[in-house]
Amino acid sequence: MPQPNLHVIAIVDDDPSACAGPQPLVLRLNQRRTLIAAALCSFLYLLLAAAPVRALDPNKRLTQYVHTSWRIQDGSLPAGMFSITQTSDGFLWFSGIAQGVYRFDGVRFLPWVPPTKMGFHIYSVFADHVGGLWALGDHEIAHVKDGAVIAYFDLEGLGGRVGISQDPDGSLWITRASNRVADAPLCHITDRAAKCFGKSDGIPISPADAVLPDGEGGFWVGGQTALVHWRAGVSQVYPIEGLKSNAGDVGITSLVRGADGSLWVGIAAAGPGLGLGQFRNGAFRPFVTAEFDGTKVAVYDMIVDGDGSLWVSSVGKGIFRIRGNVVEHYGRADGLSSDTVTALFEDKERIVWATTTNGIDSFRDPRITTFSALEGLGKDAVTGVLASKDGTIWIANSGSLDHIVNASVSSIRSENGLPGHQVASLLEDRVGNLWVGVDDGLYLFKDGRFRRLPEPDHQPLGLVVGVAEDIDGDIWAECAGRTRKLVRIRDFRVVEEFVSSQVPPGHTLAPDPQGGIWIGTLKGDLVRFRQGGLENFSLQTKGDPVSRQIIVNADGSVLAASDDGLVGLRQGKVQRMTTKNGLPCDSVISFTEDNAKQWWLYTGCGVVELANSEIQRWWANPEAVVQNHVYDVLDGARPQGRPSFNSAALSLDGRIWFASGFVLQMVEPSRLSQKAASAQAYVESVVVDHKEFRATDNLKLSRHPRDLQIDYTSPSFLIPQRVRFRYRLDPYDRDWHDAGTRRQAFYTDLPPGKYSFRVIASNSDGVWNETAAKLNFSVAPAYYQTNWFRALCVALFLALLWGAYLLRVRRLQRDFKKLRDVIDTIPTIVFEVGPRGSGAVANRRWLEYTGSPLRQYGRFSPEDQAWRDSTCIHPNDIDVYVKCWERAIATGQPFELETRVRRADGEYRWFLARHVPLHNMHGKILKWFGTFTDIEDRKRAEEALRRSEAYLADAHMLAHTGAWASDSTTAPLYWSEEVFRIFGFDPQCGLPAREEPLRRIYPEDFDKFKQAFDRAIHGKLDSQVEFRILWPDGTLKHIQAIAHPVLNANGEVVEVVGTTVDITERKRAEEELHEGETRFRTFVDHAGDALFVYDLEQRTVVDVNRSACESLGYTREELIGKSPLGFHMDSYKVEMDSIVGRAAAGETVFDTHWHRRKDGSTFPVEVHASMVSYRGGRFLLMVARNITDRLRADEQRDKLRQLEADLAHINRVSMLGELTASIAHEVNQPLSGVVSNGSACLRWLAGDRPNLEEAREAAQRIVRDGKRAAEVVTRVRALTKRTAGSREKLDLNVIIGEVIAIVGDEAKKNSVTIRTQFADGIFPVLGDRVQLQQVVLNLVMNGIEAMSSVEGREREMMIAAGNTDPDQVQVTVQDSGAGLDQDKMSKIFDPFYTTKAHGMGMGLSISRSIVQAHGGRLWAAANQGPGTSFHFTLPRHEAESNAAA
Amino acid sequence: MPQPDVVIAIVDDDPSVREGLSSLLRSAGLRVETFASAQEFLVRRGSEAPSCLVLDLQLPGLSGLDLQKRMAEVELEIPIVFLTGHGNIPASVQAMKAGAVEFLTKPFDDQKLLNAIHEAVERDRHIRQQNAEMRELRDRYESLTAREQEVMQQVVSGLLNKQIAGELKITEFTVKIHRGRVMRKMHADSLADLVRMAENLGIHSPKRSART
Repeated sequence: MPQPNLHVIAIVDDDPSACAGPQPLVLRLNQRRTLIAAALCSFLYLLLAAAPVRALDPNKRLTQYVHTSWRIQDGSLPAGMFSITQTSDGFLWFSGIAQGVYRFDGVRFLPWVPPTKMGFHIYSVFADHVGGLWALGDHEIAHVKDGAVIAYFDLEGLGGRVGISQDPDGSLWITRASNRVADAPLCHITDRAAKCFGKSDGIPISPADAVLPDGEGGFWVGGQTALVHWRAGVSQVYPIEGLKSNAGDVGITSLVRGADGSLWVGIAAAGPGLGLGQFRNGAFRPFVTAEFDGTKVAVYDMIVDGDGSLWVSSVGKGIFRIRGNVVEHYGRADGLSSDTVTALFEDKERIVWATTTNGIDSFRDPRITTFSALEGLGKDAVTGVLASKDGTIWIANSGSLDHIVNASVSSIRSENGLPGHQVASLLEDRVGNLWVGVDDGLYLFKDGRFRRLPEPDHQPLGLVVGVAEDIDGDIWAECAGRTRKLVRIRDFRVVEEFVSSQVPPGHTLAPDPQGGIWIGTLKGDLVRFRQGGLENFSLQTKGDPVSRQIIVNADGSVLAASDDGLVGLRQGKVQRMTTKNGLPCDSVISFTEDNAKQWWLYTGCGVVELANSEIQRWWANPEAVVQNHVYDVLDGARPQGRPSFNSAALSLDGRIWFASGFVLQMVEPSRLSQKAASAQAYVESVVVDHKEFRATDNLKLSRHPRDLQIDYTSPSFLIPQRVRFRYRLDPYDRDWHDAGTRRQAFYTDLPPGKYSFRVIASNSDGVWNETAAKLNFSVAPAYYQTNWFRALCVALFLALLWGAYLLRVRRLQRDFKKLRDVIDTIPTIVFEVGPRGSGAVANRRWLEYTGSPLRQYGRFSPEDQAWRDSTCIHPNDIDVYVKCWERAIATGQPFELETRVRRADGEYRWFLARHVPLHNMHGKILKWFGTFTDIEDRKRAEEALRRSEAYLADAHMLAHTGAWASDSTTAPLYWSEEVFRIFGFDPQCGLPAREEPLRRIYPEDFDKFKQAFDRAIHGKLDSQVEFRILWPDGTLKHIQAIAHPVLNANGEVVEVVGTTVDITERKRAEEELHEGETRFRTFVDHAGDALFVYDLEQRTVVDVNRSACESLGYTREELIGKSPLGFHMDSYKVEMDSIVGRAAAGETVFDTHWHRRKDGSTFPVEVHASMVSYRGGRFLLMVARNITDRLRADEQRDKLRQLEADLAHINRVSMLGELTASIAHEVNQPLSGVVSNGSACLRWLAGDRPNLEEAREAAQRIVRDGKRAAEVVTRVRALTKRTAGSREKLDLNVIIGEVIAIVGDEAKKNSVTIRTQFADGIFPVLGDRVQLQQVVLNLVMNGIEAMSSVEGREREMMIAAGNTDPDQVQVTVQDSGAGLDQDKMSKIFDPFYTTKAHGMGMGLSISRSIVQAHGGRLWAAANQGPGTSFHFTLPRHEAESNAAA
Repeated sequence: MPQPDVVIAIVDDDPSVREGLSSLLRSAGLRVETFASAQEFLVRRGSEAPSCLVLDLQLPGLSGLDLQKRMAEVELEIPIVFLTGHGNIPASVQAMKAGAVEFLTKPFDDQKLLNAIHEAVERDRHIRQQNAEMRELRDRYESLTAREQEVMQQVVSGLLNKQIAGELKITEFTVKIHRGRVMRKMHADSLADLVRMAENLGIHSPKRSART
């Protein structure tokens, strides 16, 4: 039951176009005529509206429409709405009870501010056909047009249900539904007033809820209990039985005229005799069919849509659509926002709108229709479609074979005959038989029965994935059975089979108009199979290789669908149509051509329409961009999957069918050609700096708007997402902005000026409406943007600039005058001249000096001959001057020159001329400045002084004599240069202080100096002194000084003058002479050797030294004057003579003699005699040395050497004794090799077939091993030999290697690993091979022994040999043994010191003496880690190193 | 007497000895592999174990005796003929104690060496055969179920079926079935045969619970 406070609006929308047609009916004479006209119009309109212009397709099920919902909970709108209308500008208007009115443009619900005085509640809105909007509130009525209220007045009793009907003249008929209305329920409303009709006018009921013109000038009025027909003041009342007791409550809520002219009555109550029904033959009859019972539906509102279908909105039961006897239902379960639907409305685009208690819903007809399980298909698993010649659409599905005949969908399932589950490929052959693949068989479907194709050998064919009929009438089927094969069928039996080895496994088949078939293979290739011959064309597609569809055209070209575009094959060449050619996406699932030569592609992003001419253009040029139209998801396309079998079909009626893999999709090209209504754009508002203004023309905006936003829209409801806009702002924008779907334009910082904003919109089909919405507005300028302000600023700036300029000029003039005065008064000539010498200007001094102005001398330029000839510069100087001047001009460098300039009286004086250039910032010379300074007097004085000083200085230097003056305290007043030099001071530093020279006087001589000086001061006498001075660097100088007091007139000493003479050289010469004599005597006396000097003439001893006296036992006196034969042994007289003779010949003689002492004993001497000449005489100098001790020492050394050799030999032999086992092993190893090889050799040779090759190899090894044994023996023998100590050039690496060869087994026995580290290019040494081997052997054996007690770590010995700097070879033997403590380390080289149990203690001692005898060194050092290192060095072989040097 | 399936390994650090020996053994028709050290032998040895090892006593690093010890640790049962440069009595005693076939001093008599090697090869063949038999026997025993093994243990310890049934808490009939299966699976011809096998396998009769 409807609630009393619910307000139901019944609206009949009369299309004014019906009356604006060819027969204008302008009947406004009286009310009656108006009614007649209204009725006539309504009737005509209904007739016209019934014609299917473009409307919801009545053949479609409600579920096939696109249903859109705006729900309260989504936030789209504030509450449930109760009234819908559409104004002529295209906007939809919704009104609720307390929620006000909303305008809707397809995207946004915009609250509408009601006109002034209007109360808060607006129950209904109604758009008239002349562009106005009526708003009806509690008791107010407002008529608004173009934003202005054109009528407004009160009418009591509106606040309830209102039925509205419009007259052709735009006036309204409304019902008053409030129970307060006494007896006038029907009112006629114009812009001026309302006139209500009631009992007095023949309407017996009140209040009323619905009104409907009867088309003949009268009205049907629906009340609470009855239906009334009222015309010309007479009414007929038809009480409705079920509403008898309904007074006070809502009764008939809706009246509409059906397509067949019947009157439909909706009652807001369900029950027997109530609900939905028709008024026929004077009585209300509920509408009841087999499936639908109208009495169970409480009706709110009804409309008849453009197709004549009746839409019924119900209380709590959703929406019903009734056409003929077919009733469809759509409720909350289907997605409706609520089951209580309050109003219905069909807009200009034939979209049906419904308001519910929970939102707003719309239904539109998509361009692509979908058939799914909802519409009666067996399942949403459509894998194939076939359009048969009788108009039936066959659909392959999983579990059913569905078919559509005349919009009705039905299925054949297993329960009504389907012989299986999965329906596969379908084919209608030329005689109209339907071939159906079901599971693993192929069937002929005829008369509702399936006949299975007999299979050869009763082996099922398998799933038929492709089937085709060639031009010969043969049926071909591709079967995916256990073995994939292609079969040919004729006369309902398989006549041929091709297995995959014969024909590549395929999927899709297509007949060739020239005969044979084409196969789309599993590898993605196309194969033509004709008369047993195969032709393969590789397509090389990306993605899924299998082509779902192939079409062979009459001209032999082939088109195939692929994941990589539409593939074309013509004359063996493959070409592709992809996104590069303008397709929306690459994956083409299927395609077909319709009767109007249009191609339809079913792609991954929708259905693409393509004219055949475009295809032809693409055939001609594979790069061509093709024109196409895309119908995408918004148009209803749902390409989600991939059909496995027949994928596209064209039915007889021209409709195109696509299997999507899930659903069946249908396109009706004839309906697609109708485009959406053109879109009109509207400017809605202007937002300036976040303040919103209504978009009125010539809007004046504030100064300097920062952000400007212009909102615009276009009402369109079919697919609002596709509505696009372009706008431009003149004169700001140069071109149109493509705003896409954006509905705002933004501008920032618009400069002042007048603007015109234009916006145009395109509808959902992309058709632009060139009629632009305009908005003119202006932006006022700020004061600083005005021109007079700018001009003022410029003027002010110029004035300031001029003032500053004047000030500057005045200051410069003043400064210049001052400078001029300064320059003119300078006592020097100053001038200025151009960069090349022209335009010379000089100061007043020039004129004063030369007596004539500078100009008179020409251009003062080196190039100017007149100036050169003027004799202004001295003729001797002029050439130099000019040269300097020219060079200065060429290089830009300043110069200075002394030159003579002529005075006015003709005398030349010396001047210093200076020329300095003035450069600009680029380095170019702007001017030259110059001065002439008079230096005549200075020059003369300098010359005189220089000359006198030079003379004096020369004299002093020659005499080593300095002159000086000092005051009475010895402080120096004047020193000549020589004094500085004598005292060691630097003349540059000036006179030293008083103390400094005194301090240099040698301390012992200071008193002497003091006395002499005092004598001069106090005695006023000349005095002379010799003293020494000591320089800080230790130089000692002898000085002779003479001082002379200078007395003043009073006889007082004013100063002392004197000379100083350096007498150092003289003194030194004297002393050296004396000292030399003494020293020589001492040396001779202390010499260890005896010295004799013989006079060769006198043959006597002239002089002897003390040694000579002591060695012979004589005194010096006894020897002098004696003949040397006195102490020489007599027997040597001849020899003595020979010495004398040889020495006299100039030879230096060495000899040994025997001398006899005074006591008679003799001793051997070594004599060294030579001849010297002295003062005309010839003398023999003889040196004799006693060599008794040296002879004795030589003897002892020889003995020791022999002993050492013996010891070394003993040591070698004893060491070899220790090594016996090792040596035996070394010999044994090759010997056992010899034995083995010998035995082997014999064996190889024995037998019937001797193996000579092996025998030879064995014999070779015998030889090799034998030599090896011999080598060991030789080496050992060499060591036991007593060597003569022959020295030869040796390589230490070889020496060490030989030793290791001997001790190898000994090391192994003691588990010692020997590692070697031999440097390359080791220096050769000169030495005894055996002795050096002995050293190495000693060290190695010691090391092995030292490690023999080591447990728990590696016993490792390292032998290294390498060069060390300079010219030394070093060998290191390093063990990791127990090591030696400091005490032992110091003793190990001592003879007979041993740490071993059985050692002789001689090894290291001998080794050291061997190494030392070789000029080397042997020492031991403790390792970083455990053990000891022994090192020895040997010098590099001399000849070698010399050669190297 | 060429024995191509027999491989002799020679381990000696001296190349002269190694090559001479190799030639000698090859001339006697034996396959030879040579190794310069014990480590090399342990690392490089192929999957097939040699039948005989001719081993030098003095080897750098791991000595011959060390290798013998190491082989014993990893249960590498290869007969060894030892060679030594100088007769070392304590070492030879130790080597022979550890199972060496012969101990020869270099240079050695070729016939003596070949005899020793043949003895070693013979010994090796015997060891291998024994091992194979033992493995076969163990495999057979492993193929018995736990219950059958139990029954076998009881049978070889000489118990009667009835006693076994009592012991194992099963019926006599079941014991008979198990016993039959044991005889079949062990390829035993008689009870005595089975007892011998059990001895070889080291199976002893479990102590009966009654006696404990």
